[in-house]
Amino acid sequence: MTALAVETLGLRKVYKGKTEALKPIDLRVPEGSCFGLLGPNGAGKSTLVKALLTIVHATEGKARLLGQDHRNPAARRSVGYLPEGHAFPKYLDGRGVCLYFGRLSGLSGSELKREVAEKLDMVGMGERSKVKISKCSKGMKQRIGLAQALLGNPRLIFLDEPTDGVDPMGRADIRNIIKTIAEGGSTVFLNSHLLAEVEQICNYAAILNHGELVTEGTLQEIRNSVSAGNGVAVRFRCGPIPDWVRDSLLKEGADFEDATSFVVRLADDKATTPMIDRLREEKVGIYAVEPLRATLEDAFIDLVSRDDDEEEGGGES
Amino acid sequence: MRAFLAIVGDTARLARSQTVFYVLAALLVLMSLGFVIVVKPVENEKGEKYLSFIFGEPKDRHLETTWYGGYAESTQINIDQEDLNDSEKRMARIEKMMEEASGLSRYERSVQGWHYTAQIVLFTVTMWLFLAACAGYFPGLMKEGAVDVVLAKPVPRWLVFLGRFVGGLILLAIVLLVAQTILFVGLALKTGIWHTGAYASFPLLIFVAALLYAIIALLGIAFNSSNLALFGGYFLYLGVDTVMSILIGLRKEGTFDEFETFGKIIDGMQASVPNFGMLKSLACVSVLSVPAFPWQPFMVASAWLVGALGLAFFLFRRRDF
Repeated sequence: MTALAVETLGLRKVYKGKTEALKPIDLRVPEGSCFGLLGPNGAGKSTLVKALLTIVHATEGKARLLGQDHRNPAARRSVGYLPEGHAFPKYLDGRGVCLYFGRLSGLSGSELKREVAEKLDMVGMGERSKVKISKCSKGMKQRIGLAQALLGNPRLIFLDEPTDGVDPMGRADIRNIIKTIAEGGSTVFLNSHLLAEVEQICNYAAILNHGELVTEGTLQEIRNSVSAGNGVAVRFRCGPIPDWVRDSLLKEGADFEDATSFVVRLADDKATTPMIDRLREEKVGIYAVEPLRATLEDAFIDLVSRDDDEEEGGGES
Repeated sequence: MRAFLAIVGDTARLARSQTVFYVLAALLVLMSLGFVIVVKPVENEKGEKYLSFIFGEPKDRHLETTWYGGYAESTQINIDQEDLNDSEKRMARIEKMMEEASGLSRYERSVQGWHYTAQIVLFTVTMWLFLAACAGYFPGLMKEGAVDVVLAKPVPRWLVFLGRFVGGLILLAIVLLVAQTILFVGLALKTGIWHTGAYASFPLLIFVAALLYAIIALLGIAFNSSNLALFGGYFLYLGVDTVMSILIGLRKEGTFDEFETFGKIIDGMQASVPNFGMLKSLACVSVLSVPAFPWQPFMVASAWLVGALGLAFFLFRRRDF
């Protein structure tokens, strides 16, 4: 049985007895995975992380971090966290921020100093560690935030929009750092509304909408869920196509991109061979056959739209 | 413990980043130095030593009168604790105090009197500026994005709360101790009288500062606003306390003798609202060699300190950030 880094059972949050920010959530994040929590703005992604870390108090339900009850401070001993829109003390510099939060994490002495130097170097802030927070750019602050989250090599790291406000080069750097952490065996829990980011980094994801878990699984499972029951789309790049063949394909729902290239939806992968045979019988040259997989973005839009429709339908009934 | 010290240290760093704190520290140190510089020991024609100002004509008993001022205040505080209608008890108390003070020479009285005067000024400046300095400590901690990272660490909330509270007082305590040491050593070197009793006001100063800070922390956490905490603190310290002192004074004068219910309301207020004026008097007269320590205002203030801290922590613990 796979060990779980995060496990929730009916975790629910209602603010001031009115706004239900999280509907009962059952979530399992395997240890060692790189998990992406996706959702539109206001879906409850940050609330879920804050509830796990007891920054907000869950109204109902249970949660475990690395096997321990999340309400126990000891459960956070091997947890790192980079919040969205953090505001580190302006009177500190980057090194001071890391020293302070390192001490709160239980580090001290030479171990603390070594860790701080190592993590600041890792995020590219080693030579700029003496710059006061008040003088740092958003990207620099984000890197410092990441460094403090990594102090002590936590086994579970929550990153809430880690590339927010960072320039493209910085984003690439941060993505590489996250990949390195994940490769090192730590569990990364990435909150993001940037689908491409999650697609590049994560191997496991969930989609949250209106405080409700819409789906969870491997990225492939989520991508497949969008095309389930709808067959597979395949692009054919061919030589000249005779008119009668073109007409016949159009009747079958093919979508011609130009005179020699079209996309057709087939029942499944196995239906590709008969289509190739048929084209060759008609003396059509085939240069490329390319199965078109649904992207995470397709899956996200599809799943969230469906959930919205259901919600509206439910609301009307 | 390590985490607690880290939070205490961070709060002290926050205090050091404030202009108002530097103003407070500078004023306390400069005033202590000033109190040392402006006096000198002088001898009269009879060969008696006394303390006088360095400027103008030396006045024989001028500074000695400050001791009598403090002594009178101390007497008043002490006899207030006795049955006011029993003149024999009052006299017995006054005579006991006079006996305790009779061993002091005029020179010692003038030095102690000068210490007493210095404490009045130090107390006033400390409370006025500390209120402004500490108003933002808790609202600053609770700022979104700042508190999240702290609470995500393996530190229980009570430790974060306590660290912030203690951290706010520690730097004040250090500055006050420095100021009082300058005063103590400076006057001792100048007059030859090492009056260790000068430190007696220190715990009371810190106690009153802690009480004010607890009330301000409660307001800051309840409303998540530095400004509201600041105004609430000044309102209680200056507004309510002034009104109370006036009413208590009038009550003692017998103004409300004909209005029994009103008099009882004032008595009730005195027994339930911290009397900062009285606490200030207690702190200042404590440096004189005439002990005065009525428990009633101290107990009321202690109850407020515990209550305000408890309620502030309750709100901090259950809040979502």
